Amino acid sequence: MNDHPAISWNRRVFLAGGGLNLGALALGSLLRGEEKALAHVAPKARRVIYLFMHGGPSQLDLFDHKPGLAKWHGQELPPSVRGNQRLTGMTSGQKSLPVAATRFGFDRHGPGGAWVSELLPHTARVAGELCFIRSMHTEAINHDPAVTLMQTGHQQPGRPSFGAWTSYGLGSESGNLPAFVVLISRGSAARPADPLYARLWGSGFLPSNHQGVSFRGTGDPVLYLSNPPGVSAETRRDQLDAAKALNQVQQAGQQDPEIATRIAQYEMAWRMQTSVPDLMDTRDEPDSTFADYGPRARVPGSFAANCLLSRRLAERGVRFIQLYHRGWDQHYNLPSDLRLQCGDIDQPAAALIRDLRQRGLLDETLVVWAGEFGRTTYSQGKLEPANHGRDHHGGCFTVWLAGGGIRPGVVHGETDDFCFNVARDPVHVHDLNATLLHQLGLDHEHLTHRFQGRDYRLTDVHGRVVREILA
Amino acid sequence: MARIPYGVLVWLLFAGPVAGGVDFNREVRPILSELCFQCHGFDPAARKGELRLDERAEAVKSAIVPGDPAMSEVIRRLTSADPDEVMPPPKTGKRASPAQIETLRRWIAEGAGYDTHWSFKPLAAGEAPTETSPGWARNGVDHFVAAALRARGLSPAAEADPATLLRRVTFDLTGLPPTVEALEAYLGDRKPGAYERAVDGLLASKHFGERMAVGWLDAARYADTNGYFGDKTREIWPWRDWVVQAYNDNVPFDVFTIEQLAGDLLPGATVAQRIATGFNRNHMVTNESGAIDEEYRVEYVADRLETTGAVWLGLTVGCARCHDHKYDPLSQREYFQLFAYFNQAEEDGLVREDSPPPVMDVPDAASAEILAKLQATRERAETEFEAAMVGHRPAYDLWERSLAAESPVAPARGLVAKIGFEPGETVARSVGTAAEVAGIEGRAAVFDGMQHFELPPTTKFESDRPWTIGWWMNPAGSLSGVLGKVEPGGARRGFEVYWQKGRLHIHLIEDWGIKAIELVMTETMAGGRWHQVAVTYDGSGRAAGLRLYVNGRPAAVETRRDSLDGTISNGEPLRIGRRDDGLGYYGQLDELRLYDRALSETEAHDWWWGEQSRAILAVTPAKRDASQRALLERAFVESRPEADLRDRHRALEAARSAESGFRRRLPKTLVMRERETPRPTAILARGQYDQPGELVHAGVPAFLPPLPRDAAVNRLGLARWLVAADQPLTPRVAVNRLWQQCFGEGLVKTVEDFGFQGDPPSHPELLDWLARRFVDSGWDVKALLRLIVTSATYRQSSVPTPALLAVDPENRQLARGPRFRLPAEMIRDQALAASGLLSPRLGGPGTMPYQPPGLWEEVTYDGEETYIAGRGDALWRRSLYTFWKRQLPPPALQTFDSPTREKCALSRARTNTPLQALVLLNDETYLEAGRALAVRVRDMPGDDGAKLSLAFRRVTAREPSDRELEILRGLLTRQRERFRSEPGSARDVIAIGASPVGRDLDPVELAAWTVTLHTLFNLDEAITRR
Repeated sequence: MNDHPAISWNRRVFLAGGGLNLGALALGSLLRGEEKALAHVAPKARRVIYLFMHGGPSQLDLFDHKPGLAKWHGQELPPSVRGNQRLTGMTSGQKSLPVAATRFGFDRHGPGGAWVSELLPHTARVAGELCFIRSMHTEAINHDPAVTLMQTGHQQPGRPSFGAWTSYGLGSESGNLPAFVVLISRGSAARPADPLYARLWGSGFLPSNHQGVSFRGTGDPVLYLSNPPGVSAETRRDQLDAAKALNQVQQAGQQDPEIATRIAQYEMAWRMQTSVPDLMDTRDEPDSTFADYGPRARVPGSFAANCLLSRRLAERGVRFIQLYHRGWDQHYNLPSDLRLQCGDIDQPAAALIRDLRQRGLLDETLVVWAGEFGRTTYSQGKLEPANHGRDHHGGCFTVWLAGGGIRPGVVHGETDDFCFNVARDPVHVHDLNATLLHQLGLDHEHLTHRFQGRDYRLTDVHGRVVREILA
Repeated sequence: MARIPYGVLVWLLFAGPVAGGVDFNREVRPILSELCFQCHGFDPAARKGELRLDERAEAVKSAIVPGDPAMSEVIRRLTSADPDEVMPPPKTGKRASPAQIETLRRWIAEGAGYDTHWSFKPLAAGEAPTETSPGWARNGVDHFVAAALRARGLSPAAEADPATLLRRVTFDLTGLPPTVEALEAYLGDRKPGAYERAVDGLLASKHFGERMAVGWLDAARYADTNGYFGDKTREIWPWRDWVVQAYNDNVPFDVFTIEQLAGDLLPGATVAQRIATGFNRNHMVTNESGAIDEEYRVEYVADRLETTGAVWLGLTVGCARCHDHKYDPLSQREYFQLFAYFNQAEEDGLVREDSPPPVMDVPDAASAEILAKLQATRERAETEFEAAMVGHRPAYDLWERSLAAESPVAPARGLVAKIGFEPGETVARSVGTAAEVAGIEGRAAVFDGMQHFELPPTTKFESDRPWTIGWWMNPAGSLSGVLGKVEPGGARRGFEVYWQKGRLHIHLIEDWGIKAIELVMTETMAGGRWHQVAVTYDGSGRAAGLRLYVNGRPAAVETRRDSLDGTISNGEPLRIGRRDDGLGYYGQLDELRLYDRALSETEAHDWWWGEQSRAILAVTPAKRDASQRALLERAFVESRPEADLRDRHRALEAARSAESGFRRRLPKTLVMRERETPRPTAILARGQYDQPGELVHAGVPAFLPPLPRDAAVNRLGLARWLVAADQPLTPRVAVNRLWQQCFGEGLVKTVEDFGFQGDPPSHPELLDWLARRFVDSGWDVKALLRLIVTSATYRQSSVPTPALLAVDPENRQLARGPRFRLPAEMIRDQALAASGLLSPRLGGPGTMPYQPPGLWEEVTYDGEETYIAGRGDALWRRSLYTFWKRQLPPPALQTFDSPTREKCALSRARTNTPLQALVLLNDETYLEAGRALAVRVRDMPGDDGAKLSLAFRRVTAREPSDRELEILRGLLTRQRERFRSEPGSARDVIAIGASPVGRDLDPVELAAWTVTLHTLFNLDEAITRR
């Protein structure tokens, strides 16, 4: 691998295998712009904005319309359709699995005629920019393993997250922001939101400087960013200068490259104290921005505010921007809760696409909208006249991609008439991840890290680039 | 494939020509492993072209012509320009380098000799080289190192200066900086052996065990929460304390091993030996409702096996779970033979309890004594009460007979509706069909989320009028909608009750999440049992007007919201067995009553007791359980006029509740316990829980020494085998980690992989010599550490010459001392120790030091968990005690590269990032430490310079130079001026941290000193151990 003709990977290999004392080498691998490994293949996207809908949005109420299901409404899901798919412990004991047709209206949008639900009117209007993959599938059927698989390529903890791999593979383009930023928002659904875990943006066995840095809507936007009470910028600068002078005294005698790195990182911390608040402060945005993203974009920590921030992060060269919007787990009260969740995300997500397009950033920014799985065609619990729920479903679900060299306005893959099984062009989670890496210029089979004697990859030993959706 | 026993294997692999100039293990195997073994190695399923290169006999059949590289297909393929021919195939992204090809050429020319993998060979008998390095070598370690240095034309560095050396060894052995007193004692000790005496003192320190435990906790993936999904808090800290104590007691490593892997199986296992087995319970567990039990149970067993494999054998066992190992000679069958040892625990995959069983009580000596007293008191009270009751038996029988008629009935006044869930009843409309079973009175309805009962929308639940609703419930499952008259969407106006993991949640909602009263029980009700619940409301619109009774007594509740200011009325029906029109109820319901007034506490009690007593009486006396008998007994006694009888009974109840309450509060710890009947173990195809194949018996891999003939077929047999005299891996692996602790890296850099893919040792003979010494000393950990840290090698200065830095940047040759950034815990502990804040207390439950607010809410289920920093010395305990929540590990420790504790971790990265700077600059821990240090030096004699020097010394263990002092003095002077002009800022600075600020201190002066000394914790030197 060291001598692979297409890449200049040597320094990385040294990082990976060359011991743990990373400081000097890692100078700026968190933040420094000029440090970039050359890509394996010509990159189409320079960065990713990943809109993660945590909980598992219902594909059949949002994108994968099955008008034919209306006549099955209330009838048992045919056993031949269910086949031998695993059900979760929540409905495996349910005696009846009645089909619940969607209660929402659908229309076709964009040049590809993609079905989009009435719950997502803004998304529908940008459908021409989106590539829908309706044939996603995963073997995980519960949140913890499914979301861990989506984000780390493995159902069990311990592997680096997608953003960490990207940081590791490509470094940062930003001079004063991390390569990998995480933004979390809470959904409006009445149902309690399922938990998240730091491992989803962790670095696994990669050095910890590749882990995602959470930018928060309340408190310090980055942990420990603000000077403590009573410590002014002037005092802080004085402290930093003294520390620098003392470190330099040591540097002369110690022959330790770590000291130079330490001095540089303290300066970087100082700059972050300005650059991060500047980033988070959206008062410099014109009113039209808030008209586009919606009024909640003014509420820190909301999905809308996070979408706006993600554009600002993209402009500043952050490599991987990971949003989580919680609350998509509609086991019951699906009609009301799904509407609330869609209300949270529809306008800002569409505004983000338009905004990136207008600024000329969409072509080099890959936007991903995905949950960890889909939901069942059958009702969880009782199918009421005006209400029902849906259980987790790994057999098929829909994600959409935009920008970053993905073909816009297309629909890829197909599910069966019951929206229960993939009927055509299956795309596994590993295939999706291989494709995303490919667009970033990284060959998923070559982006590896030696750990415990094995060369690990984001895609484990699987994955196929879905070339059909590449522009 | 036929498996070849260990001895034969060794013989076979030696059978080729004796290796010549090229060292097979060091030079050739890594190349073959990296480039070839994945398809031409041990795993037959992955093997391509029926070629294997991991065994000489096979390799020389076609691919290798010993003595003739030019005729060897291996070389031709590696160097081919044809993309269809070249190996490895281009799609792997791997290609042999010219240097690698040259090595292989020479190796083949020399006869292509193979050799047993170095770490699988028995330990060399190994004497240290006799050739010494006069005037330098201090013990055997140095002879090996000096010989290697000489061979490379290098020479060792001078000894580190005494202060640096003492700081180094104090961190390495105790995780703390030396105190100024220890430093002065050491510098003043001019007698020979001063250093060795200092080392002995450190090894004897109680902080030794704390330092050692950190690495072991990483290895054992110790944490205070369950990790998956809900990430509930578990209790297993007694195991952590056992580890600290074991290190302090210098428990031999073989005993340490056996007790942790199989302490429960030792004859007459002690409490401590059973606590030790928590090692294998530290893995994560899930409580996610939909999880499939067996899927996770298999993961737990696999985690135990893989952790054990890495920690003791240095093998990546997990690679053989789905298929034979691609590199090492471990088959999938052997994986499952090892799996069988750990497959016998009595446990579930989907856990229900926060601390999943098996769990044991861990009373310390004082608690055990108290418990014995409480038990004796309770027994005495029982005897006395029984004695007092003897004379009352006839009266009791009469009372019981009359009870059915005399026991109270539920109030009649204000009754709006009563549902008995009897067949044919028409009070409520039934939606869906509920099964029926025997209930509290007559029949009860059974719910599985698919049915409910309805009262019409006209049923009154208003916020400005009183009402009461009560019912009997026997809940199942973890989340259930009990009843509600609530809108399913929008503002969700209405009233609802749901049951979640043992707690009732009661909501009166005007606008969901904004204007509402939200109550939740603080104690839990057991599932699978009947409870009577009554909710009374006085129409006040306030949480205080809403009361919850469980079994006739007021239940403790927490008010989560109290912001109702309008109506809760709606057009929904009252749904019984459903929250709104979504979440259904799981379990049984009976005897529901609705009133248009708020019942009193007495009424609530009588209502419960009437129905409860009649339900008990309906059971024949012989079949009543203890709780039913106790309820009758209490009612009888309370009905009697004899004060003495009542007193005795009350004494008995008090004694019972004191004992059970004390037991509940005793520390618990997760332990291992075997099932009564062994669980068969099958080879799982692709490692999948639902694809069992052929059954296997417990056993060990063939390439390692065999089990003794009489070995127990359980974990104890396996544990003893791991530390048997002929085990080649365990001592090498263990010694290597101890070396890593002192040198920053192991002699084998890949501490977790001693297999083919691992790095070969930098000093193989030294490693074997240490391992042999370790075993021969009776696995004496302290003795081995002493040997390492008293070597001249360890005592070298860590400052390299530029030339040395250029030729050996990683210090693999050990021509200088080790230098590296401190581990996360030591950085914080040093600040606490240097400032005098550090609590010296050992052990106990996880502590919660400062942490920025809001972090747990962002990720926990429904945001329902909040981190609450501890009080008093809980804020200043050593970092190894910090409460470890896997879902969101302690952020400041994570920033300094601590592992997540989700999986076994045997080494840590050492990064150098701006986020670390932010922690040291802005975490209140370090500001507070600066202030405490300032207070500490304030009263010392001398001028500013003397005080600055003292503080400097407490952090770095050395005197500052004039230049350094000048820099600090300048900072102090400028900050004095600034705070003098901004006294408010001064007060803010000194208010940081919970430790008290002396009232007599001048805020301006203290703030200036605080900021100046806080700067010390930010120096590279402070966080580096040189």
